Amino acid sequence: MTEDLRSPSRRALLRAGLALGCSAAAFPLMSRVTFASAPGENRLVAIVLRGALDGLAAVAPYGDPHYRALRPTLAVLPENGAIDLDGRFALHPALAPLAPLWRRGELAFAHAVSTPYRDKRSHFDGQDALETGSGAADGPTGARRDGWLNRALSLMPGAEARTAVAVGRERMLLLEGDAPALGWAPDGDLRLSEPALHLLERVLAQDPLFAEAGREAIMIDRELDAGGMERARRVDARALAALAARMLSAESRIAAFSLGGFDTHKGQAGAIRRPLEQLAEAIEALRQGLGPNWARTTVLCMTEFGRTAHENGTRGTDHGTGGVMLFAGGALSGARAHGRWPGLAEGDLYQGRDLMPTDDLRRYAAWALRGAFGLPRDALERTVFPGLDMGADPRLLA
Amino acid sequence: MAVSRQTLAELRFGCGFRPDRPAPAGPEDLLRQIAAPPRGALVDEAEARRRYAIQDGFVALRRRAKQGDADAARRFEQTLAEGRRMTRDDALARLARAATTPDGFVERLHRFWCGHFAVARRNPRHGAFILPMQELAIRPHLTGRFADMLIAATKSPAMLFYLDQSVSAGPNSRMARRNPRRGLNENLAREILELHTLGVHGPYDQRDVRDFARLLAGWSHDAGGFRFRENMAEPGEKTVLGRRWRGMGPEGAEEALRMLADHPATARRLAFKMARHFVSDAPPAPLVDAMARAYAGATGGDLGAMTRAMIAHELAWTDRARLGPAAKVKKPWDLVVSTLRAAGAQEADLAPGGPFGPPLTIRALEGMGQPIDSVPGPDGWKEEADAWITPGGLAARLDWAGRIGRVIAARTDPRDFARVALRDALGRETAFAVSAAGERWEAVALLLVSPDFNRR
Repeated sequence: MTEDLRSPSRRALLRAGLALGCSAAAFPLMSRVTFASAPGENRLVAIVLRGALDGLAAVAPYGDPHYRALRPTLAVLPENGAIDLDGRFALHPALAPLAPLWRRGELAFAHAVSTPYRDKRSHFDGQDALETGSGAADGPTGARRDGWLNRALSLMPGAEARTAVAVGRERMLLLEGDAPALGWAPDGDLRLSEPALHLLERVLAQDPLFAEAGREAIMIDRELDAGGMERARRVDARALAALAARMLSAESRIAAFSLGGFDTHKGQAGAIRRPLEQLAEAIEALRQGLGPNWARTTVLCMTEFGRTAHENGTRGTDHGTGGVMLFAGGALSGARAHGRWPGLAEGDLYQGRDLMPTDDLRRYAAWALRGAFGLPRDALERTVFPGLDMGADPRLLA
Repeated sequence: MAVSRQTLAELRFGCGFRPDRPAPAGPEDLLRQIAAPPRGALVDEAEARRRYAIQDGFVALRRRAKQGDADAARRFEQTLAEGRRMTRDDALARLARAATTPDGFVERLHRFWCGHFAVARRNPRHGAFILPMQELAIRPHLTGRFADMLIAATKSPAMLFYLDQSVSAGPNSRMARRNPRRGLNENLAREILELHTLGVHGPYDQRDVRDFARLLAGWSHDAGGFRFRENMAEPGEKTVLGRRWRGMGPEGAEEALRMLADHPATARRLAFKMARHFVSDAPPAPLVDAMARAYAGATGGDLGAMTRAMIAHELAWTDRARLGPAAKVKKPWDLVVSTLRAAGAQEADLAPGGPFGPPLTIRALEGMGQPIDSVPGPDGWKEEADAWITPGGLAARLDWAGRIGRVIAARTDPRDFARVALRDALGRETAFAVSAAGERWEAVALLLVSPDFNRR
């Protein structure tokens, strides 16, 4: 429980430890785990891939007889370095660092999934739909917008301000809402010397709101210092994931961040490489940073929509519909291809252009929440994703 | 500690003290500032039309570039680059004006009304429409009639595009009859009722939303700015709040907007919002009532009267200490602006490469959760103090304060800076911390995150 940590004696102890130059071993972040309250020990990481990831490149359906014809220059094939997964699908070469996870049963995917958002194919509305969990075909409307992960948080018994953390400086609608959630950036640093931090506490003590926020901020900052956490000079995927892993190793159970660069309208073969590498780096940094907790972790990687099945006139792809959702973590039930593959024949495509969505990605998110935190199905279908029918359990988690 | 009214006038209603400006004269000075229409618009009509025209050219260029036209591709890239430059320049121009103006209250009012008609950049071209809306549709009406501001804001391409009005076709319009995929979009109609006028608890229902959307169908924009497209307009009868319209012309929606502006629910809502923005997160009812009465007044919808009623009301001057947790907290924009002012920053200092360049302003605002022209939704930035002073939010303020603190400490003594920034609102604990800090930049940083400097 956090009150132990907020009590003067505990804080004084922590401070004394720091003053004595205690190593991370004396006050390791891991010790916080024992204080963690009701949300339990399972972890969930949500990674939003902004810009619309081309699912047909990330997890290439090279076994589909129509794939090569649709992608004359962009087909991702095992003979060009893609990693065969199951004889039908292959991982993009830039995701090769994730191949060992697949072999260990810690990587899975669901192909041909989408949100209910349809046809306008706007990043702006598509991301809002993805993050709010809206069931509307034209995206969420109305002024009050909160994220589905925040609504899930509101259902978790014992959730506190640090149970969920949005990592990075970018806005994370997914975690916005009435339930308190922390926001922290990998390059964030209070910067002050230890004496100045004491002055800061005095200055903030005059105002309860500032005092409370300051106490928490100073505590997090000190823990990151004590844990040997370097402040990132550059906020890249690895830095975001490393901080997420650090927070999840302490009191947090949910972390969310976003990666960008997936809007590959032209020269996709080159343009998609770096963003995919970043995704692989992020997942690998999560695995390393979480250590033994990786076994209790589920990572959901999702994007606002897929891209056109045909490559376009500039060797890229345009905004589409059905896409891919990637899962990672030791909590998965195994290396599996979820979802129902619709095929890529002309008549199988959505509106003759996009991968046909055969499943609602919110179902996977809902079942992941059910598996990780035991949230009741009726609450998931009513509060987290209003109107969603979760259907049969895809058995995402072990 | 009671703060003098002269100081409170600047802290609460202004943009903050500058070392090179005389001591504020108090409430009378606020009234002087709003006695004449605001000056200093950053764009004119010609510039607005130039920007609207870029959008049309952009779509054509993109199409030709995709077809492999190399010259079009090059000009397309130039247009994108110009868009990015414009985004930055627009941000800097507004920051510089707020940081240097002698009339801080006017800037605060302008920003309040821009927040009331909140618009976020959906793409760089759309981003270029935002400044014309703020400068030409909102700023001229700060102390005028709300109906005029409402109509001008609603007709702005920035708003029409942001809330999808420009694609809304009446279900029986010529366009929708030809192309069954075109239809009504209720987004703008709903937000006008819910956010811009009556409020979510106002006396309207879904039928009003739908008919108001039918009335608005045809309101669109092109290279010339607002454009009424008759082929998208909806024939037939429409009823909004019990009043009926029959014709298809653009005047129907304009009349409906005037009716909404004059509605008592709008008066209460605007008075409440303004009092909450300037005075307290929980504005006292007598203050709100007085402001709503002034708004309704003899002529109806008078923003100048409502504003003067606020300044004239005793409850608008309740001391910060007495307001307690309901006292306002500066949003990041106001924190940055008031810091630049206290540091005596000039416009040139804000330019890229300058001492107070974009990393300490534009990017810092992103870090502190208030990126310029990227409001989360049409309901604007959150007003409540506890939405901003969170552990992460305070840490981001401190991070920035440490960085800008080094620049300020290199130019001025932190104790002088503290006195300029807060005058008699500088409390004992804060003054002590400033004088006791081991490093000069730390002294500045402590001041910048102190409740004394962040509450108003």
